[in-house]
Amino acid sequence: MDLPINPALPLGGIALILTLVWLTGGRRSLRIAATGEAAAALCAPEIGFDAREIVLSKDGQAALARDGEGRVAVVFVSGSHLAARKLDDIAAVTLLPQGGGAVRLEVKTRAFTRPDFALLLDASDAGVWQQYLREAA
Amino acid sequence: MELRLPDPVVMAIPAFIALAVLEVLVARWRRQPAYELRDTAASLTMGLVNLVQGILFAGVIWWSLQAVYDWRLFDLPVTPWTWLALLFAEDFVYYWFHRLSHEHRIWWAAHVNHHSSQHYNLSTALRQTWTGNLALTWMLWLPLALVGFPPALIVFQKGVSLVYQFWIHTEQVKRLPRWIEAVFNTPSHHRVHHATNPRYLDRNYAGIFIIWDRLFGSFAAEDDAEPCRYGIVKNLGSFNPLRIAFHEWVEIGRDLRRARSLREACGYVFGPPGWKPDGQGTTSDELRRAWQSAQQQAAPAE
Repeated sequence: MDLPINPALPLGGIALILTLVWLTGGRRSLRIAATGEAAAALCAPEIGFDAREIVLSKDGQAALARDGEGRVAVVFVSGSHLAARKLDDIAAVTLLPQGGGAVRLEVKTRAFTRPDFALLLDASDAGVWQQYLREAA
Repeated sequence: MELRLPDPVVMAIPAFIALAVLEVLVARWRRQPAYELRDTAASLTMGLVNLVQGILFAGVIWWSLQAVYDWRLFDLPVTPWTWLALLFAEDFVYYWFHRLSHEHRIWWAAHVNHHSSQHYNLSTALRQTWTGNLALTWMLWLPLALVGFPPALIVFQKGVSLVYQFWIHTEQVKRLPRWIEAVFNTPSHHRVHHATNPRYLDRNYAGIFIIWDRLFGSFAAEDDAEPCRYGIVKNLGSFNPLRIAFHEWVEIGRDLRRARSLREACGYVFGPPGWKPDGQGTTSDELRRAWQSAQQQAAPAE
């Protein structure tokens, strides 16, 4: 059977573009360096989350925020961008002690596209935010 | 004699590749973070699978167009005038297909993947649907065959429209001469379409001609004071093509399971994306109203 297109063309094209993106620095990943960055992502009108408290993960990959009514939102790194969403579908919250007094706070949600988040926090922060998340669940 | 025309999309693949390569290099030269590896890989994979499913579905669509064409109202000859009429007629159909794809969740589920990248570059143009044909969106083109446009010409023009829309997915072109911006869909107009800023949401549905948006009240101009934030209201945070392709269908299924009445079920499937029974959803209109209200409250203080 004759194919309407030689598969080598799109496959070769994809390989070429990806190689070029890789070579020109397309592997970069963002870090959330300050709470202001997380707050800015949350206050975009399409998110509309008025953060009163924010905690940053030590690895800069995520942040949790709480508003005045006890709702919780997450900001996370997605490639070279930040993404933010309200956490209204929390399924489980667990704490896992790490070395050096840090604790890994794991949040599982019922979302299909990005169900899990993990933050490295100080033990005192982790306990507080675990409670916030349980209240919001 | 049977009309045989080439597939413009297949013909354009070398140009797609060349322009994307050029854009990567120009963005690098301008020190703009236009491309991200996983995002680009996801977009290109979406495009590749879309190409394959398009080939698999081509027979069904062709047979349907022929079946309707057998009942055509007019015998339109294959002339430049017929093609010119089809250029506008097909673009009119595209406008309404695209608008329905944003305003009703069942079709948004098939289209949302195209908007799911937080980047806006030529690879985003290739982040195409896997489920659009299953959602029967192609049936909107059947009336063109009923009018009497030859099916081969319809399929050809549909491809031309898709090829046209490739090059407008770029931030490297700012504004074109005023008369072009007035008549044609341009990178500037289409950046607005891909933005989640409330003032830009669900605007500029055009394919080739922006005139339909101006005519039907869905036009918004790009404002340099408000840069576009690309993506969707609830960004995915995933580069997995399967999740990109099917996430909204999964969410529809979940919402249907919790629907308490037929009205709610219909709202979840045919209502606007973000609809909720209690009116506390995140539809484009609701987000725009909330934003406008916030603007008005902020105005006296300024």
